[in-house]
Amino acid sequence: MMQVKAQIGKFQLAIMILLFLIGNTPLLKPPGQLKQDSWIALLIGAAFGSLYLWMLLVIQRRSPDSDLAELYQQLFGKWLGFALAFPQGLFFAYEASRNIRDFSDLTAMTILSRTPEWSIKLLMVMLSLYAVWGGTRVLFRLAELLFPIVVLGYLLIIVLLIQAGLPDFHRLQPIMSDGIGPILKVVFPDFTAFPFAQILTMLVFWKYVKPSAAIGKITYRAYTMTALFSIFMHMLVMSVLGPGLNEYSTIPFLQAVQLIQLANFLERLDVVVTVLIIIGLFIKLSLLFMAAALTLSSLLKIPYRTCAVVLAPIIYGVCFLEPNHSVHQWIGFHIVIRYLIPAQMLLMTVAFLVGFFRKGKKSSKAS
Amino acid sequence: MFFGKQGSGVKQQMKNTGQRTRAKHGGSSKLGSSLKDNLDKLKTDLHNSSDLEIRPIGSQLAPEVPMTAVYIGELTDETTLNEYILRPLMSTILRTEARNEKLVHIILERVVEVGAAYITTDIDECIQRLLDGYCLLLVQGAACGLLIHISNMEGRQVSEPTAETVLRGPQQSFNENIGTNINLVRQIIRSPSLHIDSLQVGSETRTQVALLYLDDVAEPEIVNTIRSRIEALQISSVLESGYIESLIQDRIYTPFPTMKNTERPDAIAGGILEGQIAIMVDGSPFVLLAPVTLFQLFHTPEDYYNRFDIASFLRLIRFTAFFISMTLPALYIAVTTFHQEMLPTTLLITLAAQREGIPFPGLVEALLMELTFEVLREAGVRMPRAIGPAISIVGALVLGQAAVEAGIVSAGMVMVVSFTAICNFVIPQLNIAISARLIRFTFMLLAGVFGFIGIVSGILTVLIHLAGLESFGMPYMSPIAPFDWSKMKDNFIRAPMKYLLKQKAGNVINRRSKQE
Repeated sequence: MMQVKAQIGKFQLAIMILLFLIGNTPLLKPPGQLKQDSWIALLIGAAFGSLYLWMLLVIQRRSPDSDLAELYQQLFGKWLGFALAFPQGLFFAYEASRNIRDFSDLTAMTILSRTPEWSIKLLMVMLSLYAVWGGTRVLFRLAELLFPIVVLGYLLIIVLLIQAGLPDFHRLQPIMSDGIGPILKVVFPDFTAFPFAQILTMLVFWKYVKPSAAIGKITYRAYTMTALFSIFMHMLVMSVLGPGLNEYSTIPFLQAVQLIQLANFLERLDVVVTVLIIIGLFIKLSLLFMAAALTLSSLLKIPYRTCAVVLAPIIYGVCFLEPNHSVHQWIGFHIVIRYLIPAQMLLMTVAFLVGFFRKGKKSSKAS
Repeated sequence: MFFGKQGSGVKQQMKNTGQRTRAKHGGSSKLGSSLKDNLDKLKTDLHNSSDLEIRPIGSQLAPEVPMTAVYIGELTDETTLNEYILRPLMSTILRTEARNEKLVHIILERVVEVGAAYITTDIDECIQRLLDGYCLLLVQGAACGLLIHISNMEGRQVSEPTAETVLRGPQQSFNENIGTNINLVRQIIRSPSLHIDSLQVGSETRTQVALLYLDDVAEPEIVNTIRSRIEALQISSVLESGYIESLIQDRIYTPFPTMKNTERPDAIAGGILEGQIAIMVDGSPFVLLAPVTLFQLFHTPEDYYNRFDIASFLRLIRFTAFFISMTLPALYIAVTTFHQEMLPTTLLITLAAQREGIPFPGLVEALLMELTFEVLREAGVRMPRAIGPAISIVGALVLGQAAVEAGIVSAGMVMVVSFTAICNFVIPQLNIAISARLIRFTFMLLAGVFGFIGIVSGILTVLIHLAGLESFGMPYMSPIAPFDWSKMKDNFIRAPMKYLLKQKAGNVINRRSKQE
């Protein structure tokens, strides 16, 4: 009944991973050159991602009580570790800011075309600052509160899509008409880096999970469920829209849902989609924000709330830098996914190997 | 001031009072052996109050020893005093050689015919007890006094509950007397492990506060938290349990109550049996129950008396009504102002036709009507009963119908406001219903500015707030966050009694084996 501060249960971790990774998947629109085969690329990407996840879990298991900043410093030494972890913290904040941008662009495109963007962004920043202020425990409990809403929302949409007879799985054919070559060419990094590689964020929070022995199992399960769900949703949308329409719509998921018509009454389910996207983006944004605040607070030895208050205006400011949605998307695909996240993955691979060598040294010394 | 953790009953409590008053007055506080000195001291301490009665007695027991009965006339029962104290003392044929303290003991043991009586040497205790309606018997030469319980506090009878009515179930409610209230609970739970802790709060009112809990079911940590928070209170007065509630709750700045209050003995007994702690305050028929989760505030005792299917259905209705009463006007504003495309076309046309000629934007119209309703509601509570019908006529006809006909508000808006209000009445706990009313206005403003996004972010804010809220260390959103499947069967729904009772018995057994 009584809870110790900043302790995360198994179930809470699983739900957070689900919500975090599914987060903005409805907004996800993989590059179009694969047409109907992009789900295969997503599948392979998820498999790659699970390899990465395995590395992260090994790193975490070596020193289960350390967060990301401490891990960097343990593995790369004090100064190099600091030099690597600091940008990492800022990168979390940058990703958070990208989520806000996603959100404000989405609302401007769909439901609030006349409301000034600065106010919506401000609303989101304040809201997530409030969540972060409450701490890790509040954030993970919040995920539990929101989870039923998300599940019901997706279920409703899936049931209605199928009931309306919209999905036509012939639209997914032919499978691999050009062989597997073109798929493999783009799987890394385009389909691995996003959203699966973002599981890195969990490295900040794993140390709070009790019992820590269960982390691996829970994380794998949640990860697999998320991957399967994302692929399923992707296939579903593709089978509703077909590759052509999918290519031309800004948010294919929204487009697919707009086709639902039920008894001349339920015609506009955009609302449900918007709610799902808001919740997903919000959880993602807050967790990244929290990760940034925790990493910086652990590095600079200042309270995380101070970090959060300092970061909030930065996050708010950064999401104004891109002049329009196209630039935002271009940066997303061509810089973040192509270079930044792969660099991060490379760094973690190095960390994984460094730890491996150190361990080898230690055990040889011990023996 | 932190006193003993395991304080039991009156004695502990008296010690507390003694310390407190002594700290205030300073100097000696023991009764002396001179009757005159003692009486003078009492008179000064009670500031020569005019209702302090001092009655000299000459007893056959020891005819040459002057005795005096001291009591406050307005607080005591004349008949008890006459029949069971004065008459036996004066007309006894008993004679004794014992003097001083021994004489007092003999009076206690052989003469006075009242159950609750004891001897004390502490003058502050005497004063406190006089104010509680005791009679103090002083004997020349004895450095102690005999306190006899003859209090007669005015109060009303146990009557039907007014704030929480049920169709099926016991029809009695607590009243203002803490003794009666404890009695009502004891009548339901006749278990030796029902523990009652008495505390005293308020340096002026000296109000008795009692904690009731089942020793082997309630969490000892929570009991200790509640007790130490109450003991730490440094206030002068307690007039209602609301004082205690607002002073010991976990967080002050929250619209949500973290304690339940009820006037139904069966609800309190049910809570105690589930391991909650009841806090009774003398002078208030509303007894507090803590810790609670948000969801427990929507449960009524009747849920357990009805069949499980209908009880579950009614619970779901209540949760839905709560949600509607928070969001419906906001949704109406958002839809009519920002997202007209969300409505089916025919409904949209109907609404648009109604709103044609309405001079205000949706937000102003809604605020206007909601505020009007809040005023009506407050008027309904404050006005004297006799002019009640006038308010309903003015409210329903003039403000409702006429406002629509005059084209000031749309008929749709009136429907929205009425339905919202009715939804609010469904919620069994008044204090959670009030939070819904407050939050509603915030949501309306947010909806007026940001439309749908505003409502969603409002709901998110409330959820973040709720996720961080705790009631005496127990998470407020408990069976959902942190998730606990075993408690879900008595949360949104009420599973058949068979499963619930098993669960409760299991709890008791677990806690017992843990203690052993």
